[in-house]
Amino acid sequence: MTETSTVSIASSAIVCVEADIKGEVIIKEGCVVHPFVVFDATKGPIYVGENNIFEEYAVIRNNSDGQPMIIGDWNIFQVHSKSSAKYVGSRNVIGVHAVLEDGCSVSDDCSVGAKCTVFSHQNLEPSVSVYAATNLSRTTKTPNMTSPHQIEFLRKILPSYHHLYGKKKAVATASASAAQ
Amino acid sequence: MSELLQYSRIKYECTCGKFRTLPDLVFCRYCFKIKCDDCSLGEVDNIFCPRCLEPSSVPEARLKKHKCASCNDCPKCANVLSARTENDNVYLVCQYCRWSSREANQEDQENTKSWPTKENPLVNQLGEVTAYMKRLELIENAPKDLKKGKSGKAWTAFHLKDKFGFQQMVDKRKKALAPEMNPVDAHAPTEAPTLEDEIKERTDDLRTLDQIIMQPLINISEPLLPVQVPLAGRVQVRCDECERTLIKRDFGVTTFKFKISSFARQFVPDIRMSRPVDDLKVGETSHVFLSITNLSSSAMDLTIAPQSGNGFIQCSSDPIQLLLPSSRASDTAAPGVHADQSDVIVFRQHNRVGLRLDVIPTEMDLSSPCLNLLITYCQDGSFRLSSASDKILKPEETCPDPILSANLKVDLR
Repeated sequence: MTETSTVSIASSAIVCVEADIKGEVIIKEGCVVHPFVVFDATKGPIYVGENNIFEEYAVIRNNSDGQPMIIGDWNIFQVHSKSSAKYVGSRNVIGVHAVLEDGCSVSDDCSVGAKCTVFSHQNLEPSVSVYAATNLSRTTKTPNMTSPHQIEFLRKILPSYHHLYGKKKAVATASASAAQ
Repeated sequence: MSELLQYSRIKYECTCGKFRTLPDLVFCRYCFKIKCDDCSLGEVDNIFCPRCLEPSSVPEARLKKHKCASCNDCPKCANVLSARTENDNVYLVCQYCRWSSREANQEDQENTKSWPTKENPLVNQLGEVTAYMKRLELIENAPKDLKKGKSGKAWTAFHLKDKFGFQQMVDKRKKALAPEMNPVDAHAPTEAPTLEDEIKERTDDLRTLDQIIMQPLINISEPLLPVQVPLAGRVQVRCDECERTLIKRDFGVTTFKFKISSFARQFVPDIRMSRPVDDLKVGETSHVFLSITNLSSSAMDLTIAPQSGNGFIQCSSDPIQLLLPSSRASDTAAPGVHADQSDVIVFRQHNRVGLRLDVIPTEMDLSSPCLNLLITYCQDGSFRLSSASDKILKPEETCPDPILSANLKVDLR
């Protein structure tokens, strides 16, 4: 990857200044990134879709060599979750302290419970929930609820109490877009 | 928390001879004895739901089968189920494993209360058998009742007139004394299911033992239902000798305050290890660092005597006598031997003293090194005065407290 960091944040996305963003990261419209979130794209680019929530101390790290890491829309990465999956679909909930290992992939409507792990060889089918200490997984009939109210509230409240990430550096998203 | 404060390392001997940690012990001020959970009386004073904290009376709880009507647990992972509204109806979802009541083929309900549960299919038969057993009991007890002379009254015209409905009562009692006997049919034997049947009926998801225990009535072929949260009881503790209340919580389940609390911590010196013990080597002297705190409301005269032998580690330190001020005393200058005048005393702060004891382990001790201490302590009497507030003591009664002793086991691992 290029040595210069090319961070591109959409104008309506809220990214706190304490977030640690390295390498080529594209964050699209409506995302909310809390303080102390780590985006590490030094080994490969990270493309984030729309309306995702990244809670405090979440770590998004691309450990592949040059392969892009793609995150869809309406996902929630909860506090202290670690994700280095090559692909995360839409409407997923990655629980507190959950781990997505290198090279795994998560499709849509999945839920990874608190402290659970998705191992590197796993590819989660749609609507799979991973739970319990032994990382049991099964297909659910209950969809994850997208939370427009929560993200709306966060978009409103975060700028009043936090400095936002490089307001001047923010680039319009029209130029670079993540392949979905 | 107890691991952090290392309470579990040090065990005190209760009056009944069992070794317990200090937070587990209570102290009866009237008998002047330490009591543990085995030699005190527990008494349920409040029944409540641990989730919604709604209290219920004893008959109410029995009616609800000791289960909360409005709180449900996930049958898969035993986490809390939360309600989700859709089209004015509610269904239950587990936020952790995404189980929902729809997966159990349950219809959505109007409110979260009283979700259907699996009832025992034999409940009617069971009721019949119980009623039959009760009739049998009456017949067995009838001769005893007669002996008591309950029916020894003479008959008068007063009874015949039946102005006050006595006749009915008498008839009823007579009937009760000799009830009709309709023996209940024996439960017809059913054919035991074969292994093939069970395998055929079984669904793909195998249940864990925990899931089966939570809902033992549900067969493997049926879907799991939401688990009703069992009610919890709050216990008040009494002394088993004088039956005085030792621990009583404040009214209401949401408070954490005590009306009466007589924990052993408030009277017995609190001894803890202040530093982890280094590796023990056979025949070499190691140091054990203890901190002793007086948490009681009066000054304490304390003697610590290390005991050796009987499978305990050898301790070469002499018995130590200490005078500990109370935690409430305002003077900062602690009485007694100063830290720099003694090899044993490491530090001295207000009502806390640090000690260093020397131990010499032998070959046998290394697997489970354990130090035995005998503490003898006595307080200046103000504790007893404050405890007997309901009774004003005469001056001659204000004697010093009796001298108490306690045996301690210190786990050095």
